[in-house]
Amino acid sequence: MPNIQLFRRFAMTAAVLAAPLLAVPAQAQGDLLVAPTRVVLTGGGNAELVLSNIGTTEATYRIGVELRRMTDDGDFVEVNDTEANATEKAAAEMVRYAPRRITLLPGQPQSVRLSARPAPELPDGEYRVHMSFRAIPPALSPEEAQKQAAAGGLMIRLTPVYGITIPVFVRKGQLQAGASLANPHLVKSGNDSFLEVTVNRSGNRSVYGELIGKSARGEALFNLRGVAVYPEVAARSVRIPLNPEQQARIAAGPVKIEYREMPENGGQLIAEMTSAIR
Amino acid sequence: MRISLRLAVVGAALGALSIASAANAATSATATATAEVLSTLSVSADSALDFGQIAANTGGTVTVNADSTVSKTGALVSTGTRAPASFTVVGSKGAMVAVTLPTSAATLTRSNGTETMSLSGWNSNPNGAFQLDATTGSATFAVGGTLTVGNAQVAGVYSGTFNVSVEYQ
Repeated sequence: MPNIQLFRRFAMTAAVLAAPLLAVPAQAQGDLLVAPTRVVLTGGGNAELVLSNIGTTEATYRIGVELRRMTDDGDFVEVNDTEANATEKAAAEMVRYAPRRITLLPGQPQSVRLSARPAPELPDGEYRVHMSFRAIPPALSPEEAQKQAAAGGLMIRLTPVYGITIPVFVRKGQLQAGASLANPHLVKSGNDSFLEVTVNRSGNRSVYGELIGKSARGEALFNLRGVAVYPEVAARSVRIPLNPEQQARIAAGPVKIEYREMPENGGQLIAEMTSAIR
Repeated sequence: MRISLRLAVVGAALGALSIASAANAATSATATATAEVLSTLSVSADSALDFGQIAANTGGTVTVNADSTVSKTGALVSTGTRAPASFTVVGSKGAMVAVTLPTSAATLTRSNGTETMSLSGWNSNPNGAFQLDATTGSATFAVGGTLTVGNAQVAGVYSGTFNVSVEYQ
């Protein structure tokens, strides 16, 4: 049972000893599922998304459009309106969607319609927004608030507003992109081992696919699905987690790394390299 | 922890059923059914960010990191169970997922008052993009931060929210 809301009692006395912890039953609310998880509209168009309440109670969700930038290690950074550049602003303006607020019973799905039309005067390019689906935290009942206030002390009610964002790409004009792989090497972080490889991107749109590792004899070593490089970065590093068996096989000889389109997009080879990795 | 996975099947279409003629009735007819199974992503909250018990005294900070390490500064007393928030993500097997944390501090405001506390220094574990399990398509991540408590912080209920979102790359 998820604890969306946290009610904890804090001892406020100047005394050194804190009061016993008082846990108020938390409400379960807001678990969600979204499909599909990636939308590409070439020259504009429409799409339909499905939002489903997978929690145990009724929940209200807010749907919005946000901006993100990729960093050179593949993380996302939130971009607020004042920081947005011209391309990001144009992207946020061209996307229309409805509804913007949905209340769903447990297990209930609903579709969200999405459309985007790039204005004719916009330069060719890839415009991207991130559609967000977040549960709205329920208001505290007056009785509950009264009870909490009466309890005294220092109390914290911290509500994570958690959700899912999906990238929506609007491509205008003839765009092309390519990629190359470079500098594969092993990295240790605590007890975990990774193969780190740089994916260089060229062209005027994002690239997206899976990284497949094979031994010299063609045996599969690893498969990392859904590796994207967005247009705002020319290169990014990718960390592939390795278990001890994979480490031993990589140490045994040269490794062929392929960067391919996702199987559902045809699986064409984007880039490949063969190298001993250490 | 509860894992719910619902496959959204959109536009399921039953393909052409080959019609067996009298001549080949003995051979098995082939039927093809196609369904577009969309990739999905779900997120569930498992446990909340817990700063335990605090005696404010002259104030200070309490840090609960995503890797479950805890620390404090100042004259305040921090005791009890302190734990980061924990979430479960379920999606495509072996896919990369990135977590976006708040870039600014969350403000907690006292009910029926104007006093505030702030929560900043957001961090997540794993740090950065991570891979969903190759067999189950599931992964968990934790979120932590630093709570700043003022000198003789006024008693009351402090409430606030923070945004966490997950996304395939």
